[in-house]
Amino acid sequence: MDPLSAKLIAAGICMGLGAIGPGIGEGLIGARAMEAMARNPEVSDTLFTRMIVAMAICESTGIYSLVISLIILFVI
Amino acid sequence: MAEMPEISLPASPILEYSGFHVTNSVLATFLVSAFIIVLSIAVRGSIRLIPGRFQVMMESMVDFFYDQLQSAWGSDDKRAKLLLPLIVALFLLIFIANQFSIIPLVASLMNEGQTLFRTPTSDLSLPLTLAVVMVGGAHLVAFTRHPFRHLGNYFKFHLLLRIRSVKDALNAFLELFLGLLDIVGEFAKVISISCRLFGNIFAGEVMHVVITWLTAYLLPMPFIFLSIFSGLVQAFVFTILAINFSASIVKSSEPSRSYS
Repeated sequence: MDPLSAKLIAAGICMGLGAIGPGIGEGLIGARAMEAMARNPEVSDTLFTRMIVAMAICESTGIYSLVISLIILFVI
Repeated sequence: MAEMPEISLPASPILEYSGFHVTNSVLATFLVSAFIIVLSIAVRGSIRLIPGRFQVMMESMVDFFYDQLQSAWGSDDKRAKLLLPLIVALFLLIFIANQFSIIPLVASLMNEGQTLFRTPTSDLSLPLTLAVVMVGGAHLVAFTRHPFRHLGNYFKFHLLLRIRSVKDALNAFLELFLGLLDIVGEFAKVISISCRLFGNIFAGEVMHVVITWLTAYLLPMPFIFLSIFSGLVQAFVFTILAINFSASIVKSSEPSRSYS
């Protein structure tokens, strides 16, 4: 296999597998936040900001794999 | 089809002054700082008792971060007021820097085959510096105020002196090991908040370049809108995490107060 195609495959696999976890996690966070907002609409403002922060934290593993695949593509 | 524009991960140097490289992202950071200074002078000059729309926006932003600081520091009003300017400046810098690529004309100025300005946060140095300043600064404050208590949070050798039985010994060694793991955790904090900001903004830039290369006119618009929104969210998340990390570091080194 020539190095360029190995690089492309590695970047694709890295990003694809890394996106599974954050996808599941963000879905769960969104679902629970919606449930809580439906039960208790008065606190939906504070819940929304907390939901965004929790999602961003949950997203970090996806971002790590993104950074690694960018490094594979553009640096190595 | 035209050649795809080149994407480079490190920022490219523009000037060199006796060994110091000034990169294009640093130039853009200077531009953003100048813009923030002009903005704050303009807002300060036009403060009225009955606020206009822009003043309401600014006030609600400052108010929001004041609330966050108060909840992080636990009704310690003095410290919340002390840290408020730093936190709001951090937010404004990251937010405006994230939106740098939507300024027309400035982002496409060229110098010797490379762009003169580059979105500051799409180079790892700015997010990494901000994260090191916030987390390392909190460690420095905690260490100068209560040096032994702060080090004792990580090197828990004092627990070995209190061993009375076999069960105690097991617990003490476990605590010691966990305390040493926390040192790794502190470095992970810096890396995680800086890489999150950098990764999001750089990915937005790459997506922008690829989409504008593939399509034209109206089609890139939703992606540009998405990157504006993610820039706002990431600035917000970085600031809130910086508040919470620094507050937890400094508070864990202080003697617990009696609630009387």
